[in-house]
Amino acid sequence: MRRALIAIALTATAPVTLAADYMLDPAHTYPHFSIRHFGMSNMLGRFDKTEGTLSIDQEAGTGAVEVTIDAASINTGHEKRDEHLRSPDFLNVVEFPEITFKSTNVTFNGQDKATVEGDLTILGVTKPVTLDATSVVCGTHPMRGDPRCGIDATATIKRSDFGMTYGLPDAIGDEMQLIFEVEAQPPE
Amino acid sequence: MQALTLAHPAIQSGIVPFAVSILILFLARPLGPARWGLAVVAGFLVTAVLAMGVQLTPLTSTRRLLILVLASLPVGLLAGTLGRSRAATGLLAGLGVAAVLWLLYPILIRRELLDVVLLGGGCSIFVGWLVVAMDTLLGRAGAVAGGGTVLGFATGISVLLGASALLGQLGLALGAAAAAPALAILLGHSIQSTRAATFPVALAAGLVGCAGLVFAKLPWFSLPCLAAVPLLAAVPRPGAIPKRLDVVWSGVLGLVPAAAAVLLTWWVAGGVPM
Repeated sequence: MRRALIAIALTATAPVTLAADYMLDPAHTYPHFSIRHFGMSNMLGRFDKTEGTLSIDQEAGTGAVEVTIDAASINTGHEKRDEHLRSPDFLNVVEFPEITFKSTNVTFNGQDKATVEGDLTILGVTKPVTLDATSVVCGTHPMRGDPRCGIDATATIKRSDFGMTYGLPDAIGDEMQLIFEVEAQPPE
Repeated sequence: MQALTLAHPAIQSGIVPFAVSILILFLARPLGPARWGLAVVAGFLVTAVLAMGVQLTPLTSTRRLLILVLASLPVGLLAGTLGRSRAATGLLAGLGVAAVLWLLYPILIRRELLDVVLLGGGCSIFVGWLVVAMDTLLGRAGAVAGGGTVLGFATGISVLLGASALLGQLGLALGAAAAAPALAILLGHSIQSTRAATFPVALAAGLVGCAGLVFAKLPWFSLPCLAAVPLLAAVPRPGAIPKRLDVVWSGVLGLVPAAAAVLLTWWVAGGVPM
């Protein structure tokens, strides 16, 4: 019984509130997107390289997040399509290598949910975007023992707002759903 | 299959620029030879508007390219008053190089010196050469029309295969718009070729090719093949071939390096990114 309790204690992430600054863990932080393709299906993709910082104080109900996404790291599982998405038709990664998000206001809705308002910059165009953080969990990492925070968040944007108009209106949808899976750890 | 509307890429970059170009050629007769360049630039830009909208901010490379092609028309018109001389040709080539540098400077300032030399220098030579080569075709309307048409289509197909449908569409639009005066000449209409036609065609093809190299995945060795199109189009027509078939003669000769450019790009880059 005692061993079982120790095992549970080691494997469970204890939900504690921590006020701290974190670095985003690139191995567990991936922005995903979903967009209509010829009105037939939702095409899914993600960006493989992301970095950034997170400050969070759940007790005080404050927080801030900055994310920088390597636009060229787009990955839809099909290299030729990814090359097309990197081209000036869409992300124009040679000219605009980074996509950034910088929060301007974080409002906690209870202990584990939040609304994150901020500025999203794509193709050099900055627009206000609101992320709906459906899960905000901070605690101690069960294996490493250091503090961690995990966030799941979504937002919906129109790519035409950022000047990305190729393939509109029929081929590629205007609305994009963004889905963020984020984990953050203390700076090393 | 996507409905054949104005949103369809084939309509945008094939039918529309050709129709616009041929309408201008016949409706703008009072403008004289200047209508050739106007027809080509208008056809090209209508495709751009259909594919991209009319937004000019942020001033991306593709939007700078459109501004440069628009500006090439008055520059070509003015250059037409200079007469045929090496100095005038050199001046136009210099303006072509300046256009390349304006197109690419946001990229070049972030690159290593070797990249700057290779990309900036390579593109400058490519565009400068196209301007000079098309300028030498002045006086042979059939060669300008045939060479320009093949150059536009070959650039468009190559860049399309090189992973940018938008830049590919712009190249194809250039070919389609340039095909209208070619058809007019083939049908026996007399249109004088001036720098108002040669400069916009050379600059548009050159900049689309460079943009394909820098911003998409057009292999560098496709550019020398494209550069050879006006060179072969300049080969004099045998006396046995009627003058109005000069457009066919030049076009067919231009097809040889054009096909090489397309095949090499296909070999390296694979199929169309759809």
